[in-house]
Amino acid sequence: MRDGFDDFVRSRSTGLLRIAYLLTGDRHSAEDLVQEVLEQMYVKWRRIHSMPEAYARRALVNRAANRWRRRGRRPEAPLGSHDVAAPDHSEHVVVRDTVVEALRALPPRQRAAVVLRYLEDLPVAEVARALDCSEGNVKSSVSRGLTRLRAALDPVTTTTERGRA
Amino acid sequence: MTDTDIRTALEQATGDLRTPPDLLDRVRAGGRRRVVRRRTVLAAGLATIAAGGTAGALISGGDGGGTPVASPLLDHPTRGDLKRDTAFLDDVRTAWRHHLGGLPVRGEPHVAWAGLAPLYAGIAVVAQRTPQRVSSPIGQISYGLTGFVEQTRDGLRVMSLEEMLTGATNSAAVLLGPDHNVLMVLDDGRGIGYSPALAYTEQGRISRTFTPFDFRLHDGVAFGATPQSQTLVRVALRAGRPDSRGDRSVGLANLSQLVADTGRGAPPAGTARRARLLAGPAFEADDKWDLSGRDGYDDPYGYRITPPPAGTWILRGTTADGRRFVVQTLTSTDDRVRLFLSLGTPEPVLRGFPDPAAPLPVQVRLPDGQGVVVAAPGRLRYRVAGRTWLPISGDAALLPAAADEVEVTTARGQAVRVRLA
Repeated sequence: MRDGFDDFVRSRSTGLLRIAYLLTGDRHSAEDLVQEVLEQMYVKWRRIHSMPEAYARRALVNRAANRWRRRGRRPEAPLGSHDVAAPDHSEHVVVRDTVVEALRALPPRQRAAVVLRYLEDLPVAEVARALDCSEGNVKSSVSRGLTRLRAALDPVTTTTERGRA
Repeated sequence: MTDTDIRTALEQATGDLRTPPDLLDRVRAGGRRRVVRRRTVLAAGLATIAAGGTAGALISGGDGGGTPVASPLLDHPTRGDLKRDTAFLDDVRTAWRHHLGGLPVRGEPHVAWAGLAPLYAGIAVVAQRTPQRVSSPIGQISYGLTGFVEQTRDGLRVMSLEEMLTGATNSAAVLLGPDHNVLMVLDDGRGIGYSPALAYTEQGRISRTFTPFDFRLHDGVAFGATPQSQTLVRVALRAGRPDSRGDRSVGLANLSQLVADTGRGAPPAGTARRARLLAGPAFEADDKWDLSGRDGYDDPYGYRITPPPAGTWILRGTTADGRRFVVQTLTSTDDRVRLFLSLGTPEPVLRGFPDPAAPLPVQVRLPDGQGVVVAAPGRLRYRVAGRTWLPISGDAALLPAAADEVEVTTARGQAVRVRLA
């Protein structure tokens, strides 16, 4: 009845977790989000199994945005208090924290557009489908999002490159 | 900073993330709970629309009009041996309207099929248009509702209610009667075939033979008897031709109800999949050695209404001579348990059909003196040649080849000794 569902979960759940992590900025929230979306897909699998990727992406984006709306203007807890990864101080972690912080500062749709376009490497048309908006809208969201992301990341990447030199 | 730098930064930020190894099990368990709630969710969703909610955007116009989606259930004349019984058809439509309550619909309900089931009372299949709207994240259009209606001692009862979506196939089958032992299948044009029971090959793979229904006898519907069981559905249905999405499964319209009635919706304690690493390096979540979901080892066209009576095991490890092994149990829709060993390669060898209620359901002696894999829900210890009992950490272990006896202490405190083969 759910032919292919297990394979989909095994092969794609890590990818979905990465998207969810950048959308929420929080490891536990991301895991919850992915589990919720996959459970939803389990129920509807017979109807959606020909396009599970598209369904999952859109459901993740919608649920992440709803979560953000529910949280309203309450300040988000710092990543460090939630992340279960063992702390270290490598440049890798510095980049990660900066990326997450910079994405967190973006409005949800800009954040989703950047993540889908640059983490998932999706074409603009696919991103537009996931966000239910026009391609032009995606391009402008990505452009604005990237400007802010570059501003945040430039000092970090410059520093780490200098450190390697 | 180039686009490539951005990509690299995003990949770096997420490169360490891995899903928990038990994610699939948790998703399955959560999914099953959601299946049970599905009827309520559907009703709630439709009620939201009735109340003017924002669950879906209308395709065109405030009346939900636009070009109607074509559907045999909605557009073809009524079929079945009661198709001219106007009193029955009127009663069916009345029961349908009453069931829908204030849900937004268009036009009149259409009885797609009406007739008598063998050894059973009147049955009907009804469909009705609804305001068309985009209702799924992948752009599917919701255009109607359909369901099976059965005659009971208390009158007509709508057994199932499904949304009709473009690019999707609605449930074509239903189990009728107080014992759910009469199968009714509606011809949906895909050449549905019937398999009364499953069998196993010598390798432990599932084997089913599907015989096409002859839908001419009952004017578009076929009936079949199924063995009576409170907890199992032994039949399987498969479409001879896949639909546009390559799907050959056939939905059972009252599956959610059967799950709710007999399965109580949630797996009982202790029926989850137990994954254990006995020795060697950690495994990947997408391990290719895992047989669950692999072609031939599950029953994709069968139906399960209760969780397996006992938990399943997947025990992984590496032998002292460096070979990777997996000992795994699988439970199919007939509740029989198969025990497999994969040693050195992911290709499994069937090691029998253990009794899930046995005190030590899993015991597999590895060849070449590499030890004995044992597992049981409870506290374990073992000994060699009647000597001192040695503790086992956890509920599964790879024991030395010389081990010849295991003691299992169940959760109730009962200790049972088992001689190892």
